[in-house]
Amino acid sequence: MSSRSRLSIVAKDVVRVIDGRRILDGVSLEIREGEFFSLLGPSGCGKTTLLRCIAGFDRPDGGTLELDGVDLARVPTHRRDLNMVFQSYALFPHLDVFENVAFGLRLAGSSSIPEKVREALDLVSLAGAERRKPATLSGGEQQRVALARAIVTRPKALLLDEPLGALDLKLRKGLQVELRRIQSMLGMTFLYVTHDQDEALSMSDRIAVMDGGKVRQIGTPDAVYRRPADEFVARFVGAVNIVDREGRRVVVRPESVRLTESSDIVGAVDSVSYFGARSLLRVAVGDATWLVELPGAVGRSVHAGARVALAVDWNEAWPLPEGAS
Amino acid sequence: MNDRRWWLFPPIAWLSVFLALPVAVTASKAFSTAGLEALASPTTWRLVGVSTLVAAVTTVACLLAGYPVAWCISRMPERRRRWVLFLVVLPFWANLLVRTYALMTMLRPFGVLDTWFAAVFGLWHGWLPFMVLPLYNAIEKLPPRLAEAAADLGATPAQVFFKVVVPATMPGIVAGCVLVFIPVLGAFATPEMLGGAQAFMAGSRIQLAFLSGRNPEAGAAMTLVLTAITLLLLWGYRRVHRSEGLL
Repeated sequence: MSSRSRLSIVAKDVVRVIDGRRILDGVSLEIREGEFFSLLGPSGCGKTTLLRCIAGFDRPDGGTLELDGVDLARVPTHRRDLNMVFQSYALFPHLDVFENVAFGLRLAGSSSIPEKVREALDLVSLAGAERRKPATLSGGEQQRVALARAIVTRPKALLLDEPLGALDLKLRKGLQVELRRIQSMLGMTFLYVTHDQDEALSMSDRIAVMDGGKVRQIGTPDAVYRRPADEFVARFVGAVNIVDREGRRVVVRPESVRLTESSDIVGAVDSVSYFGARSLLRVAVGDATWLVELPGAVGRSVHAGARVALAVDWNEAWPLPEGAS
Repeated sequence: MNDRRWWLFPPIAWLSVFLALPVAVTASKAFSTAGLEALASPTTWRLVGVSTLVAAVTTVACLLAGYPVAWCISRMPERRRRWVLFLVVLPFWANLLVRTYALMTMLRPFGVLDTWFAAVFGLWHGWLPFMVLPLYNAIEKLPPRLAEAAADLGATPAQVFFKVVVPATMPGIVAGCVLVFIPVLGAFATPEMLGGAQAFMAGSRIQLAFLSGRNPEAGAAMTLVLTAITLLLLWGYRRVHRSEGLL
């Protein structure tokens, strides 16, 4: 990624205050061209507000937003070369699939509209659905149409606001892979808002973890997972043990812990959750509870109440910076 | 036999007695010598034309005034919205004649009483709620992200309105127009009281023919013509919009 240095979307100290609450409290980001960038955080952290400010549906009270080096402050929504994919699809109910996808092209007075629409529908595997009305499509199909509608005009960047949030798990997994495939195929900048850390980790080039209107950490999925900037990030991005070691607070992911014959960490198994491929153990060690992730078959052989010894791979552990909350 | 079919009996009986029977009687009267004579008379067709024009003008006026009103109501916070909707239907608590007399006293100082303007103004005033309510219903159901999606894809505010908002609320627009156009087409009390002798519409002719005149056949003929116009409009609308699944 570092070789690609052209910037697409840049936010500098963006502030948004609604009813006296600082929804965005000085957010700064630099999203590179062609990057799949995720905003990850719990609901209310400001990620959607930031996206809406970038799209032009909302206005920041402070700071600047840029697209390809151009300040967006005076550019109205319809002049911003950005397209949005909404969680609620927002397809035009009175238009069929073809006309929904052609909407932006027609406004732009584009040429060879039928070819472009067909190409976009091919890309989202919906060829043949041109004459269907949105109401006759499933949720997954509607979101594919919305995606085709958004990419067909080849905007500088795509903004996706929890696009898979309304779909069931299996469909979501499939579309995650497909979204990533389409993104790399087009080489388009994607700014993806989600509260699902698995989604962010599996799809993104980089992630910004947000909380309370602030960016807590920006980094690759591997960085935010293995080298979290603070306790909030550590806890939000996956299951975690935070233990004291040599006077430091240390992050130990459950998969860095295994059962062993004997060690100085000994406890009683509190519960075993079996997920097939893996098992998650809760082990009571003194006052603390350790989370231990094991291969499924290993976990199945352990029963609640059993006394176990834990071995930690300290090479994989990550000390939290001093003073970080 | 399915027992549930008995549930259909009361409405069918009701429709037979209060709709089918009167229509049959009217039709039989209309297709008499006097009725056919009235159908051939240019006066009949002039009155039908006048009524259709007045109904069309009133409907358009209601639509132009009603859409912004319905739009604003649908954007209000829940509590205030209920109050304003209550205010919209409040006039129905007073009798139409009372409301029309009130309008007479209001319009008299302006010197417009006994003109077509007063007649259309009164009709517009009286039927506006019938436009506002279905429009409100349609606009309120509009997904809030729809307009944003259109603007996002490059539509100017005007394009958002005419290319997305209007088509997406078309069912409400049609329902409101039908609810205003049909009663105004046959109106007689309001135009007579406010428009005086000038505003003589088909409805007045029908009322006169049935009540004080000695020519119910002519009244029946004109009634049939007005009914036919209504049906023709509804049928035409269905033909145009059936493919879009409206109505």
